[in-house]
Amino acid sequence: MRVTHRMIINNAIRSMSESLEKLSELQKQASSGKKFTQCSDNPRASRSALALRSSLNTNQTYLESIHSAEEWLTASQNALNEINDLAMKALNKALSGVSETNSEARSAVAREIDTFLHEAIEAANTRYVDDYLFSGFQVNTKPFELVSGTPDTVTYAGDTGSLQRQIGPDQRMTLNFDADQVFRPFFEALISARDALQADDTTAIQAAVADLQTAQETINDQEADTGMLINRLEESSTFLEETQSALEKLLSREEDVDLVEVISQLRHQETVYQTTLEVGHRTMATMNLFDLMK
Amino acid sequence: MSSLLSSLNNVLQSMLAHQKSIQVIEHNVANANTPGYHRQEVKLGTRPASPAPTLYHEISAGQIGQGVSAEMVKRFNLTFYDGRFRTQTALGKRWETTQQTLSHVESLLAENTSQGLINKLDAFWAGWQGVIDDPTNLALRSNLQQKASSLAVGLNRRASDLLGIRKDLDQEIIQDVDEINEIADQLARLNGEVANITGMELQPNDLLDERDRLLDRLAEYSDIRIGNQDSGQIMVSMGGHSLVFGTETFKLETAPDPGNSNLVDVVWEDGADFRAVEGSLTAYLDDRDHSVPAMIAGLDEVAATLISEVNALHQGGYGLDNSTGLDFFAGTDALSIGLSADISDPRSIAAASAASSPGDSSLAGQIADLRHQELLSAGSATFTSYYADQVAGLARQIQEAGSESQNIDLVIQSLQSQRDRVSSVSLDQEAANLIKSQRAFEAAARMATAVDEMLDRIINGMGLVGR
Repeated sequence: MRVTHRMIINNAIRSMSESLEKLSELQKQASSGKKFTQCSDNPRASRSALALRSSLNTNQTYLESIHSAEEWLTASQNALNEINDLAMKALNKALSGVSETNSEARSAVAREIDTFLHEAIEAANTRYVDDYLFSGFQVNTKPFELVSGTPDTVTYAGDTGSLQRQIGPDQRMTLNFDADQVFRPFFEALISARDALQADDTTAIQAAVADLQTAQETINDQEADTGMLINRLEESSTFLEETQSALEKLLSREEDVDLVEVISQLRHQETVYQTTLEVGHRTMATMNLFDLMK
Repeated sequence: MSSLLSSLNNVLQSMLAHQKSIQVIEHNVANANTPGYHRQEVKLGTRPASPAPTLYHEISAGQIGQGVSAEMVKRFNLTFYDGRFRTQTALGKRWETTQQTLSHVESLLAENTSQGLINKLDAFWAGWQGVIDDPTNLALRSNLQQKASSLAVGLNRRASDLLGIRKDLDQEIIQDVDEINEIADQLARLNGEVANITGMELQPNDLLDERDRLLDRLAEYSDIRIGNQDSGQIMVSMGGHSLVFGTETFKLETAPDPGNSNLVDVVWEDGADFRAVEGSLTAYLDDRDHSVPAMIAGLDEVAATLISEVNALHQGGYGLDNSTGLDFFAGTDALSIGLSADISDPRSIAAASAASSPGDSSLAGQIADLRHQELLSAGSATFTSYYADQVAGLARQIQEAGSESQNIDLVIQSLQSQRDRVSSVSLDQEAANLIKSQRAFEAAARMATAVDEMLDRIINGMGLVGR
């Protein structure tokens, strides 16, 4: 075959630029740690990477929702716990009021129960950040108000709206409960207990104690339910976190390079490039017949 | 009849022929690096022998040769490889151009960065998710506005960038058409000169080089067919329509097409439709009218679905200020999408399904659920999967164009080395030829001296016997 100097030089240039291209590709991979920088470098892997990254983002928002729901429920549980404590104490006091025969002592108990009533209403009006925990959708409205009268009444300004949170695709959780239904019997039992003690009416006190007992049980059940919800959220959160780390592993497998492999390839390619340069230099420095003519 | 004087003439012819060989070698060596240069060589031939046979010729021994002459200057080329080379150039250029254009589109979409549209969509849904968690929190509502606006701006920017690319491609098309017309003019002019010179029985080798260079360049724009005409002229056709015929040209024209956003339509000057075959012009036309508009249509579908679905839900909801029936997004497509002026107050964003329910976020929940619904592509894809498919489709197109262009590049390289094998200058060969011609020239000069001495003997040494 006829070979000319131009062909040799063109070949040398081509080998050098191909070798340099490979070197630059490996350097890019080694320095970025990614297998590709543009989707077109690897359409299949990048399509999966796009979907995986979006799932990671979506799950992250669910995790945030779960955490915020957990905080809400914890605040709610604390308030319920406080009210439950008050209910227990009120029940004990009222029971002691039944056995008490002295009307003086009974009205002292009544005063104590009155304090419990105010504390319980205050606890039922607890706010989390800016929102009232127990007023349904009316989170800006103070739900319970004690109205004086004969007898005193408690008004509920909230509604029965259930606060729903998304804790996963198509997974919703209701955070609140009908506070009016749960708390009112307690407040009313407290009022009647107090009034009965005040009035020194043993039958009425006994009736109020029975009411208090039922109300306390309801509150206790509600507290337990809230605790269960928190447990469920924790489970969901653990599950999502596990999913996240599995997704991250998948994403990493799609787009992260094996550094050991890339760096050893880079080493190798550097040697190849150096050799190409040397060979190219030697080829181009080759003499031709003109050099030998005298 | 031969004489010593004619011998002197033979020797002179020989010296002239070898001198011509050396001149051509000089030309070869000088153009060793000139692109498109084809090696030339003087073809030596014997001059007609004497005497010519006639009925009454002088009786003597045989015909005697009359020395050497330079018959022609041969140009080393292989038309077969030229045609193959140009066809592959047109193919390769098409894929290369497509790859460049679409890579540019891809880098504008920037989907593999944190500024990707899918990221923005995710942030938008996360914004709604935040509002669900705490519907009375104004900071979270403002955050939603911000994320929605960033999503809208992301769509706007991509749509306007892609429209910009279409306009740029339009300019490239006009430029290509101008170049083609310019090359056609030059080819027609060269045809004229070539015909003149071949008419004088000479070889217009350098003009042929020039013409081949122009044809190589022309093939980058569109595949061409070449036919031979009389006296070394060629005719060139492109997409089945004549471009150059002898010294005549048929031009391409560009005219704004009102049916295609006033982008240009390419037609022949006689009104015939232009059909590009491969080449960069095909790529530009194809990308401008198909690939890029398909991406714009994809963005438009995302934007339009987003606008209609979010607005439809949003209108049925209630804001913190009990406003209802409001739009969330304004606009109709990717270029015009923006936040509706209705919700410039974050309180007006509807999260509740009923009036006067500040804690209700069930409507926001429905809107956030849109991300999981298959609303696009005739109900078969979610926002994310639809757009990811678009991006992956583009990526595949780029990869395909890239590998096609690489494969064809290999073919072109091998064709180029086939051409070089025949046409390019080998310095060793030229040096050897130079020595060969130089030696022959020297020998001819020595011959001249011998003949001169013989003449000297005849003129000055004869008839002087005994003197």
